[in-house]
Amino acid sequence: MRVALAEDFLLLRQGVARLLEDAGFEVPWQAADAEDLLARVAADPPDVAIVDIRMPPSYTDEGLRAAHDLRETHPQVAVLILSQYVDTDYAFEVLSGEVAGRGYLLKDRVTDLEGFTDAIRRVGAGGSVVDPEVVDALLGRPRERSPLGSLTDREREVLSLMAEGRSNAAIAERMHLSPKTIEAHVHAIFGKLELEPTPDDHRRVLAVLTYLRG
Amino acid sequence: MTRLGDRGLRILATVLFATTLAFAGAAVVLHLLNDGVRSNLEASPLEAPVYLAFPIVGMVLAFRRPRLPFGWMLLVMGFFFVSPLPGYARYAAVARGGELPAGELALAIETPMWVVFVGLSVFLLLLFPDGHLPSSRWRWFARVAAGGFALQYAATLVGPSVSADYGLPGLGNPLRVEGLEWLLASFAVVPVGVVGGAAAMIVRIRRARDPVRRQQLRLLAWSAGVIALLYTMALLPAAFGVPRDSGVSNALGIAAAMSFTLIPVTIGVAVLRYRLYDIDVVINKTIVYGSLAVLTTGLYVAIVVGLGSLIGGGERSVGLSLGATAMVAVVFQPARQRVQRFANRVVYGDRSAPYDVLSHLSTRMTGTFETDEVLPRLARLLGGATGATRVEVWLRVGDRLHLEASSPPREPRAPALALAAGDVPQLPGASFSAPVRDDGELLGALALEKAPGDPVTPPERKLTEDVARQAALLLRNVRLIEELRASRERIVAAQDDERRRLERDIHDGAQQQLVTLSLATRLAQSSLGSDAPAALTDLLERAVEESKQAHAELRELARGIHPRILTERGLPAAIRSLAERAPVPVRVEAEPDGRLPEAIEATAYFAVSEALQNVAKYAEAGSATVSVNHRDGMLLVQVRDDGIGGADPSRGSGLRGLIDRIDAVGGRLEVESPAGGGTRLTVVLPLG
Repeated sequence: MRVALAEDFLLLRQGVARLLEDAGFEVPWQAADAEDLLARVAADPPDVAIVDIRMPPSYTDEGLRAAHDLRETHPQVAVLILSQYVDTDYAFEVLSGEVAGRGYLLKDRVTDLEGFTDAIRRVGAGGSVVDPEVVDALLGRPRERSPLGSLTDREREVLSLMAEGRSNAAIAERMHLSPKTIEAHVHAIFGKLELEPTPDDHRRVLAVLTYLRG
Repeated sequence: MTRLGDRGLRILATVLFATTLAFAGAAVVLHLLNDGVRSNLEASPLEAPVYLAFPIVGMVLAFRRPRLPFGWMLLVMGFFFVSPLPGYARYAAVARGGELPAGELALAIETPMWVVFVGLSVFLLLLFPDGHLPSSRWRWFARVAAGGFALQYAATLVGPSVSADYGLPGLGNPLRVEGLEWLLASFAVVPVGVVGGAAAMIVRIRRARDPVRRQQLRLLAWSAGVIALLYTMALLPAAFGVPRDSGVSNALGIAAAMSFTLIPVTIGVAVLRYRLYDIDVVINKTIVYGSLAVLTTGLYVAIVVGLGSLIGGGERSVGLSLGATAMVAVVFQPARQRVQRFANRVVYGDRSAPYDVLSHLSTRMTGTFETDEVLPRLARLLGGATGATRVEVWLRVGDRLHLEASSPPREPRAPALALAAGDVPQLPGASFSAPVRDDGELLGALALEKAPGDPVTPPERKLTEDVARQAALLLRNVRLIEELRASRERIVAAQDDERRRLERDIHDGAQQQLVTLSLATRLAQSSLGSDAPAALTDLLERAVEESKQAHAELRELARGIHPRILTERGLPAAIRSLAERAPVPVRVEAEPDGRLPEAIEATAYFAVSEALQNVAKYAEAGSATVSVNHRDGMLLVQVRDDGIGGADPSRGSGLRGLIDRIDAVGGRLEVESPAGGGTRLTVVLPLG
């Protein structure tokens, strides 16, 4: 898989590139700001672009805007945003519109080799990714008498994996259960939470996150 | 009427007025010739000057607004009171024993005059103040009323003689026509007409938007009410069988009749005080003030004489009645002065006692109220005292004058003016301005604007200058407060800027470095291979964990210094992130409405942050709700919880800092926290 990088902090960029190569990805190029990123994508589109949320010149939301722009110009390129903010607002911003091929990871996820590479593969395959720490923070919020309390432990685990953007197949593999079982759990969860079941398991991440946000 | 030019109309008005005076003179002469004998239905010469209010105001109106019917109506109504006809009838019948011609005729013509009077009164109510009916739907009523009055006039004219009521029994009616007595039933038009007229007034008052117009209408309505009341009272003794020429009936009858002068008087007041018909005030002041003086004197005399005769008992001891009159006079003297002052006030408003304004000022300035109210109050008081249409208070800030207050208030605010060589420049639109100085230093200026034709008199100038002197301390205070607020705002803004910079440095610097460090350690660990000693791998694993921990803590630290999400994503998002971190369930209801000024967003955010911290620490709440709304140009932020309440805003340094911040942006904080009933913190912040 061809995975490109856009990050302005030199040492970090080099470290991540090294990590990617060690993990077996091809890193065709690296960019240091949004303009550079868009130009290089146009010249040599990768499968996945890992983009820092803030880059020169304004160091605010260049990464987000680039992700939106790329949706128009190169919809087949998946974008994984790296950010230091746990606030769900940013995750929602990344996933707004089409959720396919979009992901939001916290920067220190790069030290979690397995999780990081798994996320890259998922988003490259057209899925969605939300950093587990963001999901944990959401799930761990104190809530008033909520149907969430009526979920079993297993169902809770399935819910949190759904909120991370995983498909039924991915959840099944991770929990070492059959996809049929997972389907049943999902059905039960949606019933308990009184959520509309979504047609495919790719788009439901937004519905689940919205529910959890309250 | 329309064919005559304005000049022709004015001549006509003068002629009518002169005729009225001539009639009045004739009435006095006849009264003397009759040895002062007269019936209750005739005005005594003592009362007559009072009724001159009708032709006087009528003439003024006919001169100034000849196309309006009211001047003419008042002129005609004036005839009613000064009519010499009954005097002539009496003279012809009694003194000259029927020698003089047309004595009975005179009385016959006089008898139905009251119908004209009442009819015109009703139409006055219907047509005031613009000379048209309230709406076209009233046309049928106007026609019916006019018809009714015409019928009543005709019926009375040709009806049975009532000469006995005039104290002249035995006189016949030369215009008598038999068999039409039933027409007298048209008397019903009187109460119907009066009620209809009153209804028309009420309709107009309710419809009137302009408060000045409402005042004009209310005055007339009030006087109509008084007249009606007095008339009812005058009729009561008759209902109880008290004879018509007893003292009580007499007095009430006089009072009722005199009350009619309220009509021209209130119209006159409306003209003067409330600028009805925009009539030039200067000329009329003398005339109407003169009439006022006459009115008060006349009323005074009438009451004294009436009551005197009531107590004195009429024909009995002259000395007793004189004494009684003298006593009543003494009693009523102070009342007369009060009535005079009251009349002044009614006509001229506060202008009658301008220096009362100054003492008002001193009293009110020592009361405690919002700084924002002080200057507008000053402007209002000065406006009322000088009759100015606008008063402005200018405050000097640096080398410019800013408009701080004006009465009536002005939107949008006028721009600042530069000083002219260190002194007050020409203020646009001002008829007069007085600088406010303290110890030689220019603090600001007071400016008056008056209507053209209403110049600023020397006493008004002096008053303005005196007020300016008193206002010096006031302006100094206001300026200090303004400067204080501005400097607070600057301090808070500077602090916020610093924190933003600090957060950015941490985020972009130290945080990035920590992540890079963890990554490098992880890469090192993974490059060790499977044959590396477990101790080494474990050590590196711990190193990674430690630096991740450090990174997370640094992240939280940076957020505490300044929440980046507030700057980047706005207030609702930042509040949601606060809610996500709260230890109790927090519901957020925020109306997103675009970005707000930085200081406002920061204050609102810190208010919610502080409030939620207090909820976590003290409230023992089950849940909390944060709501953010926009209302009338203000931002309303509320944090409610369902905890134990009893919050004391004076405790807790966090709240102190928040209050300072809220003050700096000109906002307001309220805490409601009944014991056991949860807590509600409300912050109101001005937007733009």
